[in-house]
Parts: sequence; structure tokens; C-alpha cells
Amino acid sequence: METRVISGNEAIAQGVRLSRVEVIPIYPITPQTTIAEYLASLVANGELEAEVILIDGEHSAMSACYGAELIGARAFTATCSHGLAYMHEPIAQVTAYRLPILMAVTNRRLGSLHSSQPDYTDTMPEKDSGWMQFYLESNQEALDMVIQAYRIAEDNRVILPTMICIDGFYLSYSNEPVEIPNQKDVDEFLPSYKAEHIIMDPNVRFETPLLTIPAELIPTYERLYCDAMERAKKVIVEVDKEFEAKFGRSYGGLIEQYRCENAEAVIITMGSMTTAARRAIDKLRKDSKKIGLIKVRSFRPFPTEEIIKIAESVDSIGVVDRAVSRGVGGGGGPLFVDVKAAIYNINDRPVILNFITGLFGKDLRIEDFENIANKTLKAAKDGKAEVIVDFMEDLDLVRKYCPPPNPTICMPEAVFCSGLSGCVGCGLTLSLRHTLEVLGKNTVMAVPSSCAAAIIAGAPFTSPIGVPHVIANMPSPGGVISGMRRGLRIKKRSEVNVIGFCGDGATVDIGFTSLSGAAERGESVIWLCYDNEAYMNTGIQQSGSTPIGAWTTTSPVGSIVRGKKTGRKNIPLIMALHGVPYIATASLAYIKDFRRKLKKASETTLKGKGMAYIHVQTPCPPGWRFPSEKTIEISRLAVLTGAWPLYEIEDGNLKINTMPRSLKPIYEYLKLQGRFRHLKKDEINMIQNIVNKNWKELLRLEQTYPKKMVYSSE
Amino acid sequence: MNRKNMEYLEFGKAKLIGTSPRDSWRVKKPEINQDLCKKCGMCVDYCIEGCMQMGNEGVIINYRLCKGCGVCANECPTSAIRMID
Repeated sequence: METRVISGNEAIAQGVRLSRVEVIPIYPITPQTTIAEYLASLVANGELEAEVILIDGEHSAMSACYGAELIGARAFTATCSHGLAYMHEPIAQVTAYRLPILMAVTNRRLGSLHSSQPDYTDTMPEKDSGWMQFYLESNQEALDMVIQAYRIAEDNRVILPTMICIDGFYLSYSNEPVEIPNQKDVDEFLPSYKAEHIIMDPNVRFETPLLTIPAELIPTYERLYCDAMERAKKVIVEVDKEFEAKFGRSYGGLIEQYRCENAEAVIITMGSMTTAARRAIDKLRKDSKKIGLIKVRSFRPFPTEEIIKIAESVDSIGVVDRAVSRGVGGGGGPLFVDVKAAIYNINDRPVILNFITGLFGKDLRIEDFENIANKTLKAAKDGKAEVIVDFMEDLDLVRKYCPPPNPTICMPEAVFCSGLSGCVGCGLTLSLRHTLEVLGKNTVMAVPSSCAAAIIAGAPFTSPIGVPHVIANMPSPGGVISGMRRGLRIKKRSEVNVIGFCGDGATVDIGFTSLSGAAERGESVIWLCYDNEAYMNTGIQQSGSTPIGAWTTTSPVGSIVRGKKTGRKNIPLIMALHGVPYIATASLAYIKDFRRKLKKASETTLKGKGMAYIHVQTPCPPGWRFPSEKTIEISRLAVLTGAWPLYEIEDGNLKINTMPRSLKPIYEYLKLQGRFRHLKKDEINMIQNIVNKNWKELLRLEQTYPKKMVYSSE
Repeated sequence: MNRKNMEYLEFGKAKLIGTSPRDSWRVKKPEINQDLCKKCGMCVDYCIEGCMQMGNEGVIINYRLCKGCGVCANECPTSAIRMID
């Protein structure tokens, strides 16, 4: 056993290592990313023997989890917010197959209003999906709960999927001392996985998931499911006790009571806010106020009996919610609604209040909880509450921002304001500036979640670019821009440019279906892919566009793994096979060429000829590990070494735009970038061979044209 | 506060265009030697932030918005730009 100061995400990764998880499909999303990074590096260094799948989206991630579990392997994934919402469909599938998958959720707000701050609006929509949900308070609890959760989920009385939720940022990125148990002790506590559910193994016995049942049996099926949830309650308490006996730490099972002895009122909390609440209770107890605290750990199964027991002995309950159930008369959070339902049948019900706070990551301080506790105590004394659902608004701030004040530097006529919040030397900022300058004011833009989305989400109520734009969902930018174009067409507004300004993740991986669909339908939209060759916004994770051999945080350089193993997708040529009328690659070192291509793309789409696709390489100083002044130099070398050939395909005719007399050796390009620093001579030679082969192929394609090589769809 | 004041909040609207100063991000700043400058405009094209402009008497830098990345100094064909503290 050792104690280390680690973040919540690392604690979870350590828990996964100790639990000997076998398959880990994972897709990066802030603030979950470092879980993926730690796991990738554990595998790269041979500390964990597992299959890490750096997958193309959350929908696939959860699908891969149940694929692996159906074969009998212990599976783990992690996500949050939009990723969790995108998983919603396979999440329902998992419950149908009754698979004990463990998912860690680093809570983050769901919905637009570009926020990566924590609240429970992401996990609450999944509360009725049939997954167990645990909300955790500390990094230690996160590590311990990973181990406990597999024990609970895989118990043959339970066999249910499990979500463990830690507050994004508050726990995911905060460091705390965490005791890491010995592998031997964990192995004794959590034996190696022998699946009790359906296993698809043709060599052992025939067993396959039930694909349909008669409607008449559904009520019984649902009752059986709820029975398993009920049985889980007992198992959770049992496992907690066993864990205490083995490791000396107990979390109280379903709920934890804190200083509830002879309390007149209690407040109920979940997650990391509980720590601040504890300190507030300590203070009030010192003033001999009779108040206690309940931490709900297991939200599903809901600790109904435990809540009833407490409700019978107190005069008022204050429930603190980090989420809102919109449309429940007068508001009210999900925890409040459930607590209220639980105590309905008891005689002499206490007064119940709801405090909606901590939304959008608002920090909850000890004073806030003192305020909450005092209001709850007052309700206990009065026997009634003045306000039942208290949104705890800050009206001074509302006054400050409504109507909003002018930005520091006001540029009402600008199409692009200098001083975006991108990194120093950011290639994407340059590509965005030239794109907007060429397309002009008459443009609408969709930006899927990416670096670009993060940097144009400026100050509140203020936009740093002068064209109407929206942050699109990452899997569906093609849908958003198609809708915009069709809307403009029906409104007879054919002069407006529609552009999807997408990163490589949204083009190559998660959003590829929507790109392919929009291309096939012949939507007259511009799709600009700015390619920084990894998921840079979440912190340099491998994407489908990362070149072979490159270091990223999920393709680390260790004793077993040495950078990305496979090459990249060649999207421009894939688009050529879609029969897209205008396709171009561009480089930031050749600005005039880039601007000409943008102009051509605009003309093509405004004429209604179909999609225009531009793929521009945008070097990223922090991600590629080079000094910020080298952005353009590296772009130029990429073209001159043949790593990033400049060409355009117009109506099926391929033309190479920049033809170096002879290609420079690829080493010149690689040596400037820290992400290739680990490459040995033979690895560089291998990359050189790939570049030579691709260049030859491109020359061949150019000669084959203008005879149309592109397969027409007829 | 009336509903009109709240509409930005209620319907999530952003109507203002603008930005904030970025000079605090900077370690070094570019300085142009006008004698060496050939006014080719390459730095204006390559300026990541777009805070350089071609004026009548040469290139003007908006130091309030310059983050000091050094791309202009690295790309200048006549080495007319250098990064100073």
C-alpha cells in the first residue's frame, strides 16, 4: 500500500488497473480525458494488460463495451456530458443484455452554453435507464468505488451496469492524497472475472441475447429488473462492510449520515459538495444547532428505506440539487423529487425544501451551506417553508449582465476580431481569420465542439467573430449545415455562404457519417476541415488524422507502445470517391493559394453545384511540441517534404498545386516537432517510404486525370 | 429589470462583437526596422492574430492584441522584424 497525491481521474485509472479490467474503449471529452491518458500510458508501459480501443465516438465506445462484455471480458469506459448523451442508445441496450459494465462519469453540464463545468444535468437523464448510479465525494472514494463497483455489479444477485459519478474539475483534476491498495489485496477482494451473464462463445455452449419477448411479459420483465435493483441495495451495504474489513475504509453503503444524532433538521447532498457541507454542519453544531447531514451515495438504487427512517425523526429536510427537473411544477431537482416521493407515505411528514445551486460548476462554499442549513432549521421551527424550491439566484449579477455591458474592445463591423483566446502561434486561428475574410459578412457558420468552438465562445453575450455561428454537435455538423442550406433555399436566400468549420475529430472520426451523408446528398455547403492532427481541445489525444508514429497522450511512448501504430485516413480522396465537385487541400504557408481555394469553394456552393471540401493543415504548437514562431515554417516544410501535398480536385480532375522539384527528406519536417522526437532511424525511414509511396500515387492520379478517375455514383 | 432586459439571458442571445486585450499573454514583442522593411505584406498575411496592418508608411502592429508568437519575425524575408523584451 502506498499513498500518493493524485487527481480523481488518476485515482479512477488506478482503480481500473487494480481491478484488472480487460477491454477499455474510450473517447476523449473534457474533463474525462486524463482517465484515457493514464490508462493508455499504463498499457503502453506494460503495467496493465488490457486492450485500449481509441475509438471514433462515444456511441461506438459503449457499443464496444457491450461487445466485449458479451464475449466475457471485463469492460470499462469513461465519459460525461454530451458524450454520455450520445451514448444514450447503447446505454439502453446494455440494460437489455444485463451486462455489468462500469462507466466513470466526470459530471459536466449537458447542453449548449459552451460549458465544461460540472453539474448533474448529464447523468440525471440516465437515472431511469436501469444503471446503478453512485455519486462520490473524494478521490479516495473514487478509487475504492471502482473496485467495489465491479464486486457489486458482477454479484450474481445483481448483474447490473454501473455508473460512478465524480464532479468534473472539482474531483477529476484536483489532487488529493489517495491510498493505493496492493494488487494482492485487491485480487483477493475482487476475484478474476467469471461472467454470470450471457456469454457468446460458440465453442462452449449456445447462448445468445434475447432479441424479443412478447409484450405481455414486459411487466414481469420490468418487475424482475426492479427486483435486481432492490437486491443490489443489500449487496452494496455488504460489499462496503467487506471492503472496510479488508482495507479499513467505509463509506456507509447507500447513504452516509454525518452528525445526525438528535437532529431537528437535515440537509441532503450528493458528490463533492458534501465536504463543504460537513464543515458548515460542524460550525452550526458548535453553536448547538441541531442539524445533520445526509450524503446520498447510491442514487440508483435509491435509498428509500434509509431516507424514510431519517424523515420520521426530523422536522425539516433541505435537499441540495446540482440539476433541475425542468417542468416539474415550480422546478425542483431530481434528488428533491425522489426524496419527496420516498417520504410521501409516512405519517407526520417533515417540511421539505429544495435548494437548486452549484449549477454550471458554481463553487459551493461553507457559507452557502450555512445559509442552506439555517433556512432548513427555520422551516423546522416554523413548521412550513416560505419558498419550497429556492433557485438561490444572484440578482446583483443579473443586473450587471442584463442588458450586457460592451466588450473591452468593441468592433461592431468586424468579421473577425483579433485577440481570440487561442494558444500563442495557433494555426487554426489563422485559418479562421482568412476563411472569414474571404467569405465575408454574408455567411452562416457551424462549428462542432473543437478548439475553434472553444476560442470563439468569447465573453458572455459577446462574439469575437462577426458572422452568425453556432456550436454544432460533434457527430452531426453535416446535419446542421444541411439544415441551414435547405432553410436558406426555401427562404430564397441563395447568396449566403454556409460553412461547417470542423476540426479533424469532427471530420475524420465522430462526424464522418454526417460528412459522408451531406456529400452524398449534394448539399451546397462548404466543409472546411482544419486539421491539427489530434484532439487538441481535450489535450492532444490520438484521432483518425494523427500521422503514423506521432506521440499523443493516448498513443504515448512507452516500453510497449511507441506513438500511433497506424496511418491516417485520406479524407480528400475519400470525398473524391463521393463525387464531390470541389475538393482541395491547403496549407497555411501558402495563404494566397488557400484564399483562392476558399473563393472557389464559395463560388461552387453558391452556384448550387454541391459540396466544397477544403482540408487545411493547421500546426498546433502545444500539441506538436514546437515553439510558437515555427507554425508557418512547419506548414511549409510539410508541403516541401511531401507530407502534406497541395492539390485540388475539380469535377473529378486532380491537379497538384505545388510541385517541388524534388521532395525534401521527411526528417527536415519531423525534427522540428517534439511529437516525433522518439523516432529511431528505421522508423523515420519507414515514414519516408510511406510519404514517397503516397506522393507517387498522387502523381499517378494526376496523370490519370483529366480522364475521370472518380467513380461516378451512377 | 424587465423582460426586454432579460431577453439576452432568456433566449441565449449574443449581439455584441468584440474581444479583450491579449498583451498580458506576451513575453516578447515584435519590433519592425522600417529601413529593412520592403512592405511585402508577408507578416500581415501570416500574423496569427491578425493584429498587423499595412499602413501608408509600412506595417502597423496593434500591440494591445499581439500575443508575441514570433511568427512574423520568423517569416520576414528581410529579417526586418525582431522580437524584443
